Amino acid sequence: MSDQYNQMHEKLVKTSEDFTGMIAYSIYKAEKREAIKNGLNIVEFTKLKLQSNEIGKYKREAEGLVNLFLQAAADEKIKGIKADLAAKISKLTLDSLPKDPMYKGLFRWHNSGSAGVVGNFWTAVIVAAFVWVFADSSSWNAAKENAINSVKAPFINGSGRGSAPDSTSATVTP
Amino acid sequence: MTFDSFLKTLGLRKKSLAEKINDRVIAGYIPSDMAKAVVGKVSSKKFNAMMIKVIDKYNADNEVKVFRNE
Repeated sequence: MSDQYNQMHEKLVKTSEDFTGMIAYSIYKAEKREAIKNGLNIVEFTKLKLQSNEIGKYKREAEGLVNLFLQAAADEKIKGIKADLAAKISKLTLDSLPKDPMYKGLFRWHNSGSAGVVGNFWTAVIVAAFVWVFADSSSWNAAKENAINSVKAPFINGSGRGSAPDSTSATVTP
Repeated sequence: MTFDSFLKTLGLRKKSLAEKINDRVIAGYIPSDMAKAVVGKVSSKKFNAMMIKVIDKYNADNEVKVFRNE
């Protein structure tokens, strides 16, 4: 057997299906690489690492790493299950809540964004009601006529514009 | 950096479970008490058995032909 070869692989990896052993061998290789980079005596390093306590240390490290990865996988799954469960509980809670009757929806709409427009309408109605109650009938009729005329005025003026020249010419000429 | 890893870094493509776990461990992952309780203590022997089972299942699901002793 040449000097370049040591029995570390055989000591750490028992069979082709010894995955923990392969991880342990990777840890050994990483340490060996560091030792070479730092200029250590590699023959002495290998001799030291071939001791049974060092072999055991690599195996324990590999086992710890395997457990850490399995725990990380479990945590990832737990996170997914928690999120899924929270969404299901939220949906269940919303579904079990009593549905509001229609008039409540109407009130909600009335008191929300449309409140300004609807409020103005109700103000006009209340003012009209006050005028109707407190004024006598002739004043009420006069107010009603004025209101109707005010509403009609733009339309009458608009349509009257076309015939305006004739009427002015008729009034201006004595 | 490949196009795939670029998309994954940007978050445009989902990372696989193995990649997520690897990232977690590299970032200094500390297992939760629940994960410790769920996993327990897995021995090398048990892990190897699990790996063999998973590899066989993967090969069967993906119709991977494995030639042994050749």
